[in-house]
Amino acid sequence: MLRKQVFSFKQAKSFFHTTNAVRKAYFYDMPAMSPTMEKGGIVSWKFKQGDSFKAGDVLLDIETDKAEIDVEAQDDGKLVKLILNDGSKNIPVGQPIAILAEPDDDITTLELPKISENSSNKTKKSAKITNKSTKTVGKQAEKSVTKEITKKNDYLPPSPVFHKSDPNQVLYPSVAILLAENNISPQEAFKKIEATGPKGKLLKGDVLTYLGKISPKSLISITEYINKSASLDLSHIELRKKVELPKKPEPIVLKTCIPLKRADIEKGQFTKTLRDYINKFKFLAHQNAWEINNNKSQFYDPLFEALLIPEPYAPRFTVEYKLKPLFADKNNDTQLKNDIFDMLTIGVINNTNNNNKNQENYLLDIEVTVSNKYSDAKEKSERFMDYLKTLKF
Amino acid sequence: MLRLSSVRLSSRQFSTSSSLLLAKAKHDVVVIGGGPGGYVAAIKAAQLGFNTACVEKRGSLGGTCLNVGCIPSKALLNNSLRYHEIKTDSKKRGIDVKGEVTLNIEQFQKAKDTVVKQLTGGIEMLFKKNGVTYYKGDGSFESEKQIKVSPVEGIKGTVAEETILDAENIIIATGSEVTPFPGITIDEERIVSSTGVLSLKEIPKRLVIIGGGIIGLEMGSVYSRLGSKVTVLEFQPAIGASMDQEIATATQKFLTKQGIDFKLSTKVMGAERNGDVVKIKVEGAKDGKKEELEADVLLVAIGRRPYIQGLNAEEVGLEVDKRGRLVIDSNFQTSHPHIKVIGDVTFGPMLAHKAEEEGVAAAEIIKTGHGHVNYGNIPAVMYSHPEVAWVGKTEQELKKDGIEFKVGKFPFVANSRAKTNLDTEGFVKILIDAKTDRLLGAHIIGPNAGEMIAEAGLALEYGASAEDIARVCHAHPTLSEAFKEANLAAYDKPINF
Ligand SMILES: Cc1cc2nc3c(=O)[nH]c(=O)nc-3n(C[C@H](O)[C@H](O)[C@H](O)COP(=O)(O)OP(=O)(O)OC[C@H]3O[C@@H](n4cnc5c(N)ncnc54)[C@H](O)[C@@H]3O)c2cc1C
Repeated sequence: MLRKQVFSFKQAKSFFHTTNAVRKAYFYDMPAMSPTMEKGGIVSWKFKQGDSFKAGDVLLDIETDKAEIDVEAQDDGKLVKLILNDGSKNIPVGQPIAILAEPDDDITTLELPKISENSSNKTKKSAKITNKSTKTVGKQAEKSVTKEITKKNDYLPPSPVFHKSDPNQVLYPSVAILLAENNISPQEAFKKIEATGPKGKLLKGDVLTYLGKISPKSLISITEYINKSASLDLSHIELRKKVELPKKPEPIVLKTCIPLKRADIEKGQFTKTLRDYINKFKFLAHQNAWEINNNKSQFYDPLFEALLIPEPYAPRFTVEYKLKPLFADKNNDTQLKNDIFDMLTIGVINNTNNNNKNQENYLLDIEVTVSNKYSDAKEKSERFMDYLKTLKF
Repeated sequence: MLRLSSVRLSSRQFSTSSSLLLAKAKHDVVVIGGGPGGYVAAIKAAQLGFNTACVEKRGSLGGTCLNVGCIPSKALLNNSLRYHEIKTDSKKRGIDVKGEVTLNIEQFQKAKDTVVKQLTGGIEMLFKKNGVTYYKGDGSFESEKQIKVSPVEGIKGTVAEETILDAENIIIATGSEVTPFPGITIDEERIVSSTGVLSLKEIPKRLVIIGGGIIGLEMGSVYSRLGSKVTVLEFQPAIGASMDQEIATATQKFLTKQGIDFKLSTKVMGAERNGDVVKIKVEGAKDGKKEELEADVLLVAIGRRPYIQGLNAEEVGLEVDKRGRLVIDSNFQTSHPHIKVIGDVTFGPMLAHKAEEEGVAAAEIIKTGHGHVNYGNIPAVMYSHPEVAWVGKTEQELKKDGIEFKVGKFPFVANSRAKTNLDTEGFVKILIDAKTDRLLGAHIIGPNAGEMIAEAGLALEYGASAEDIARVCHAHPTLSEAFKEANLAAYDKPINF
């Protein structure tokens, strides 16, 4: 299948009323379906003389050497007169093929343009043409389309600096003069001259090149040079050596070992109580000065104090502990990590076979990792260790 | 049974949550720095529909440019020029001044401060109007997607507490700072930077300036007009940094005529303050000749360097090049695509309008993926009198790049408006491609050159040829006719010369 392309360009209507009359009819020219299309044929008109059409209606089918293409009207209008009928072939692009008018114009009173009239007096009024439903003519056509589209105009070697001329541009003074001097109409220029200016604008150099007055090479090289300067040169960046980031100090770990004795209490209860105490010690150790202070002076404002301490409620240390039964099977260590305590206790305690024993000696191994983010972390960790000492068996 | 000695147990539960008091906010775009790059980016982003915040630690918006750069310097330049003209230039114009023309330095400085206040306040209004949230505080990366804003002591309205901003996109526009001269301590009193020289309380009898760049020459102009004996020390054999050489030479000539001394190819070995006098040791860069200079004020103006102190940029993995610039790609993107960098802190000329353009482009890139800055078309202006302005390529660049070019020149002595103004110093120099006549560069020394350069910018942007410019009708009598004539001269022949 043919690649689907949207041909959307505007065709100027050539008015022949020079006054501001409402009634106007204008030539409809053979549209160019591609930048390189020069001739085409009319397969069939979709409207009869005198018919009105709406924007978006397919006006006619056009055939090129590559494809059949539906041509859509962009504006509402009326088909006043067919100049060339179905089956006409080899019609040069730009030749009038019909006369159109505004939808509510009365054709009987309308002054018709003469065919011979030069279409240079064109005012801009657009008629969009698309090939919404493209039909293929043959397999060969497919190839030539792709080839034709990428090929630039003959006078130029291919280069990314060239763009299709914007047919709606206002000509630069130098360009307008050069074109006039060389009898090239703007329409012809837009069709034939490739542009190096921004957004398809024709520059003096583009026309000089087209006229053969300067070499395409000069045009390409200066355009490349200018385009290159439009961006920062980021190609030779030398990175500086990474500044040695201050190493995070090794975390301080406080350790202690406390002998405990379980008596007259079930093991599950024992570990739970122990956990509660450790959590409470943790809480107490984290208390801030203003919370501990009982005899608050009248100048004491807890909110203000809180402002002085960064993240006053963030944990200053983490606790990990192991409860080792002193005279028991080594495999039966009850290892308890703070955060997953519940899970472990439920798992370990409920399933151990030691539950029946009423008395046991333990060693509580505790490791406290002090956070290095806060200046009061060490003090609070040490307070925790002090609280631990109050645990007695 | 477990026993416990008397420990007061509180009923309150200990919370492990780490952020009970830490304030938090969330924004689509957070801009760090409220200079020309940052504030423009913030407004543009807000206009594009993003929930936008701007973090600035200076206490006022506008950055270097509005607070201690472009704006205050231009206020001093303009008023010193008027003072100087009234004093020296009136008589021949038929204006006799009865009594003495004197400088009221206090009012002179106040006039500048008023403008700065109005303009920086104006940006704050623009923020309100466009719905940009303004955090007065020190911004730093907490993580790739989090900016911590910390209160800055002594600034009115600074954030009450450390605040974490969750940011979908981050634009870094932290700008630049004065490059210190190794071994010279700036006290902003006798040994000053560009910041201190903007607020001198008295006119120094002798002002020595290290650095013949734009900032040095502008400040030299100000104080020379106000009566200082100004000496400029420059290590390079030419002044004006990136100026076209012919323009730089002509600039040095007219500044010399105005009374500024130049010591080029001169190496500064050190400087020391002794009471109210600064002693500067210099050495000829070529001949090694040693000399000692004295000054009442020494201005160190050897340039500016990117500023990322305290930003934690490298900690979150952003790259920094050898000159301290944050590394970006052509879409201002860092190694983290959601973090963009614009303005003085990254590549390209350190100019306010360049930062602004990038601000707009960066915001647009966040929105649409596309943004446009034409680095081949960034004008530069020195606000001496006459002004010096240029855009595009210099003659040296074209030669170095092997581009064939044509030159068109037109002097202001041949321009009727300049003549009537009795202000004819300078010329327009136009560089065009030899084959296509396309404009490549424009260089102007002349009255109002800074305004005139805009025409060249427009022409460059549209790929105009010298002929296109020359065929545009320019009003008569205006200075801009000189620009037109220089273009005419470039591809054809001037009419009035
Ligand atoms: C004396 C002088 C005269 C000048 N004249 C001109 C001129 O005439 N024309 C021209 O185009 N240019 C001029 N410039 C240069 C111009 O000022 C700069 O190019 C411009 O200001 C750069 O804008 P910026 O937004 O990149 O950075 P800046 O203007 O430097 O702004 C950056 C801002 O970010 C803030 N900031 C930095 N880090 C942080 C952080 N971690 N948290 C919060 N805020 C932070 C800073 O406080 C600063 O306000 C002049 C400079 C000087 C010094």
